[in-house]
Amino acid sequence: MINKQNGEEFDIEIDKTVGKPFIDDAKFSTRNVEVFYGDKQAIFDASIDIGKNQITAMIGPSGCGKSTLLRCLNRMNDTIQDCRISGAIKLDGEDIYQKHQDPVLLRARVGMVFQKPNPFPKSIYDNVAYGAKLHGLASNKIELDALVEKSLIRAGLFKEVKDLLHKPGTGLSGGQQQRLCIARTIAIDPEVILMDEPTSALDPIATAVIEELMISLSKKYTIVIVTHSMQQAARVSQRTAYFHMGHLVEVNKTNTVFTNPEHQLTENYITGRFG
Amino acid sequence: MMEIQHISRQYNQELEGVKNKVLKMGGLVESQVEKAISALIEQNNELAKEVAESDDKINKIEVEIDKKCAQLIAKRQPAAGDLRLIIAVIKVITDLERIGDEAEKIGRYTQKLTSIQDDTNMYAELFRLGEQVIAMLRDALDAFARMDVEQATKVAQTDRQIDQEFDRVSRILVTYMMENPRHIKTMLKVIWCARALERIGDHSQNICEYVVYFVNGQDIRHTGLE
Repeated sequence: MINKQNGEEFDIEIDKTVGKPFIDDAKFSTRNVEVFYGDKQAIFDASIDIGKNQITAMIGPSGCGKSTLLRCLNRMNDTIQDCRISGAIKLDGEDIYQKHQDPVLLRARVGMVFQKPNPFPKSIYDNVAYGAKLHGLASNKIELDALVEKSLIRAGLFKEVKDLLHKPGTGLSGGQQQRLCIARTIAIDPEVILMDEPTSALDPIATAVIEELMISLSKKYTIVIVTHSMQQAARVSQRTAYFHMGHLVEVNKTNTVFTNPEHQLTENYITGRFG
Repeated sequence: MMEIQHISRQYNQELEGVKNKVLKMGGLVESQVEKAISALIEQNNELAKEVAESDDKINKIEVEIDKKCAQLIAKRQPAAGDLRLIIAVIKVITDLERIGDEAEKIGRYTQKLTSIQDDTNMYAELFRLGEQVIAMLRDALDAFARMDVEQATKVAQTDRQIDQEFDRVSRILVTYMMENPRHIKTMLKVIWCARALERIGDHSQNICEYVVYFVNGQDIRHTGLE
């Protein structure tokens, strides 16, 4: 295929994904996934395994399809009209796009954290309790209190907000709001957390706090992160996937991708040779 | 591998700048070694003195390049090929600096040897070793300049011949010492010079191995060359 780089066309083949896209202990497996928005194809033949209790980073230039694939993992694309998905996406071996699968239940198992912190215009307590109430995870006030506290502790936010639980969540700083959103996500005890550029609106200190949190959360949850910061991918993830114009170019251990990538396109992108 | 440029032109220039400095340092080291060998074989006291006293320049460039590399790592967070280039550079200049030290050593021994009146003329025995070493160093630097894996692999293998030549020279010198115990003190200095030359071969081999590491991302230091 013809690629464009620095405004010039050049020819680099993307035949199939290089590296090691498949692993033994997979939580998620996608096979031959193709995504179309109307007649525009956003993803071509993406097959990758997401390791259990690992952080998998998806990187690539804007419009490369990384966010699209991430959003396929909890069927967020269902809400987009004329979005068609083919191929198989399996969570614990079960296809999540089969008719009998309930997307709401799926999203309880596969939580999501977005680029901009988006707390509900409610109190800190209610933000965390909301999903748990919806899914009936607590039978009384004491249980709910305990759940909110546990989630805030896990998100590393409890100490900072324990006296402000009934103040609005929107009054927190950006980094605290993002951790509140993470607390809200883990309150419903998901198995997988999808993060779409979770720190791009945060300063370096708040970013470091979230990254530290991600690493500690990965002991219990499987995490997939889409990030524009290659250094972030290098710092937090165990495996890295590189996307280019809808193609999944390379997947491998992060250590390998950042020291000795196999594909020329991966090398160009991570060394900053990409327009 | 390097034909596609960075988006940041400044970054390109910084990397190129570091690489050029290494080549400049390599040129200096090569000329030091050449002079040291000539001084030794021709017993030229003036030249030996010059070699012994100009190692300082090489040391300064090493410090300068190290500093530049540290700045590049801090400011640019190099990855993949760029990272391997910087690691290779840091390692290559350590070997170059040590080659400089060996040349300086030969210069100092030669100064002492020229002050001893002696007509044994065993220095000629080092001629071939000197030729081999200087050729290997030159080819290693050439492989680095062009980042040529094939040449680097070939050059690295010539270290074996240098080791063999060093063994041959050692045997001759030891035999000579046994026959002429009077000359042991002098001959020991000649052996140290031969040993310094042999070490330059080892350092040149290391430089070739870093070329392979940079291009292929493969560390062949202790696994041998295939």
